[in-house]
Amino acid sequence: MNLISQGFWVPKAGSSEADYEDAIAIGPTAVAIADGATESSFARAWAQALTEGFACEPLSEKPDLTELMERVRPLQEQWHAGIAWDRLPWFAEDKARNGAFAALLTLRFEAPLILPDAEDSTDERLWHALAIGDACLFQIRNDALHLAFPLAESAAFDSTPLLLSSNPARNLQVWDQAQVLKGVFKPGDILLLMTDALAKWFLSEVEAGAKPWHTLCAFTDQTEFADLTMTLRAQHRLKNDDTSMICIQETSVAHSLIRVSESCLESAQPAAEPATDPPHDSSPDVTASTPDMVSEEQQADWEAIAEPEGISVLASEEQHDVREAEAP
Amino acid sequence: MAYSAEISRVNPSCFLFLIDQSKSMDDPFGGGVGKKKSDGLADALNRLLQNLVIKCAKGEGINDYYVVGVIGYGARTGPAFSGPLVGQHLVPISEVANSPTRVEERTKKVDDGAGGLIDQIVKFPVWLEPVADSGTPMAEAFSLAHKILQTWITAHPDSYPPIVINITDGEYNTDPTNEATLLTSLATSDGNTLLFNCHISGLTSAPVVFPNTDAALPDEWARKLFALSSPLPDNISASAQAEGYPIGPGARGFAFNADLVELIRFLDIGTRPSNLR
Repeated sequence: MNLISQGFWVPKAGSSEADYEDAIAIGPTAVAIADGATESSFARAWAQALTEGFACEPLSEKPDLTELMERVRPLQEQWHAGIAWDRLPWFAEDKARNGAFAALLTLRFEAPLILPDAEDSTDERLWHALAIGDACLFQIRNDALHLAFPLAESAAFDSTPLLLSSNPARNLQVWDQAQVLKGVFKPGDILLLMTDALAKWFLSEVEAGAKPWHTLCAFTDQTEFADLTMTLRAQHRLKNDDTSMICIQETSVAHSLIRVSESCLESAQPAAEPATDPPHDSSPDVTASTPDMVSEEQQADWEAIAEPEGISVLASEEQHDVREAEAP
Repeated sequence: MAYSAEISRVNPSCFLFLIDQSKSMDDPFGGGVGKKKSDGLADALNRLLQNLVIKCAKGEGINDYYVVGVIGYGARTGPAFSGPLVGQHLVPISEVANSPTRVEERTKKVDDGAGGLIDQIVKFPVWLEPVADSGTPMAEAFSLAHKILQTWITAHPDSYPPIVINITDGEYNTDPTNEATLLTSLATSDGNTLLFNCHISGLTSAPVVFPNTDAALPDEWARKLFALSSPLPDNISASAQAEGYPIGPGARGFAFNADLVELIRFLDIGTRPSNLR
């Protein structure tokens, strides 16, 4: 079973693409989505650093707090180095010194999304998600919402989500609240990652008995996604905010047609053809694979994975289940 | 729903501060040993202007989410900016950012990210100087505020309504009820102009902040000022609650006997109308 990842995004109404401060990145084995906080400066650069960092070089299979902090530190340095501090007026410098802030959700598979030909009969794929803030992961199984992480109710969204900062001093209260979840992708499943505005709408729809994934998973281009968000905003059903989504489904697309996100090219195999810059591309992004197949030993290791030290595990897949019977 | 308009560059909002510059502002906060009220107020407002500027800073520039004015009343009633902005009633926040009278350097303790504190030199821009002279013509200040905001609202009919914050330490010369009522009758499509009143005091008695009744207020004058203060809109009320204030139904934007710390918190909460877009 091979998987295809498609990213969709649209800026808030009344803003230009240059004002878009969410970010999406798709790597060979991982994807990431981030929501840069409007009230912080250089939030777009921070959201991009986070998503590209975690999509191109995923966390290990047993991430602990130390690893997470060590993975974020070079991204903070990258963000800091991208600012021309000596050119900033006093207010811009003061603002930037506070740091940029973003919600982050990243999802890694144990094996590449696209498996080598010989191995693509695998019928289950293990995944591991990490969430800081209110960007959400939804898993659809048997045409029902099977899992929602880290938020499971539309009423749970508020205006003060947990945010990861580019300023290390601002993260002291954040690390303990990072959440991880592991799960299994089975044939026919769909995984959706969304920033908060769309995630809140999605859960509202589910709570009303609807199946919004039918619409979201049918998109073939950005225009259709933009049209839906425009309609929902006009109906006041979707908050006017940057809106972004990654959809992961099964695919039968041949390897030669798969393209890799530009930001991950250095870590991808050269067989892939580059797409344009992923978060700002007008066409869906698709990941390429590296031929690293997960070994039986690694599989066993995954099964035996202990709860990561220092990162709270919200729930196992079973505990976090949002089965059809539970949905209104 | 009122008071829910998004604040954006297209639909900015307006803060207008009315500051008492009467002679008694030369007296100290906190029972005779603290900073002069006029000095404390100038510091608090300069700091607030700095915070508003930083809030609107975006990348290398600044988004004009707000226009800001400061009216002083004492020996005269009129705009209180010093330096390049002298004489101006309402100024876009970007112009405020680029036009301080001077930028001082001050030291503050900051978190070092490893559980300790370090001294950091911070820039402290100054737009307002302390003034203390003559009486308290509050009614004139409300009247001037009405004139200024009437023009602004005509140009911004759908913006988040203006917020007027009046800071005073004593009794007004003449009853300002009519002028205040006229001021708060000005409205955008999102609601009426908000008037918050903060009474600062040299006394050490406990302050009353965001009350929903005048029962704890000591005299007719304080009760009058409470009556002239607008009820807090939901989002500001939520901010106040998040800061630990017990907010009852109908709580008003009013403080009595505020010390410098309460004044700073009052200004901070009063200028948090909603999320910026």
